[in-house]
Amino acid sequence: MTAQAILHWGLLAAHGLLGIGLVFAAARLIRGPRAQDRVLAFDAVYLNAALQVVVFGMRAGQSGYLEAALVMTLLGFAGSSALAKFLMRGEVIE
Amino acid sequence: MTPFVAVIVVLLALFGAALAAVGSYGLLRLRSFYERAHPATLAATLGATSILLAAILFYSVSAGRFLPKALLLIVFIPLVNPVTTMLLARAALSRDRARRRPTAVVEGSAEAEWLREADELVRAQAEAARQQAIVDDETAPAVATDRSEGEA
Repeated sequence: MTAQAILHWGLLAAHGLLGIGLVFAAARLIRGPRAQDRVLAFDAVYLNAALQVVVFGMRAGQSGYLEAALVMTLLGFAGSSALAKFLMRGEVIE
Repeated sequence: MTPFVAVIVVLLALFGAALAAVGSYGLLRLRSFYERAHPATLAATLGATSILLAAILFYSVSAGRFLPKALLLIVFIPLVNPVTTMLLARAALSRDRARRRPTAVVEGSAEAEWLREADELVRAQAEAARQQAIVDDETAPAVATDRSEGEA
């Protein structure tokens, strides 16, 4: 078995596992039951998606995907901390 | 790239992806919000670190020199994700404390179930505190009095 084949199938399996995690987190995002559960699920969704992008970059062999994952985590952090602030105070910027 | 390095990269990536899947399954399965706050960090810390270590190894070996671009993400994700989780937990706590209006709750809904669980938790905590106070009252004099003096 060549290194290319090992990388191809192994990273494909990692894609599948991350996709399963994405489905579970999306189910929690839909089910709720309260707003904080949805924000927590949103956190898990964007993190899983960023890791998917990293794994995809490894399959494509280009390191530019790491910057895309970094931007995703940055925007996700901004979004979920703004949502947490909103849940705590009722407004984002006081 | 030799097959040995490829196997290490794939094992690291699979380990991280499996942790992310397990964490999301916990998010779906556990019952209350405060329980669900814990498995979400599984993917953020060890899972992300493992996948990004695989990325560092992969890009370094395929470029022939050390390429630590993923180190930025290794530092960033485990640093930032617990912060959001903590902010969210504090927001949930303050929302739960502010929520004392039982009129708007529909009987038999998920909200009513949740409120019942929260009340049970509060009652169990009060009971535990009471038991602890009884135990403290019983042990306190025994510790205070010197037994050897009494026997002599």
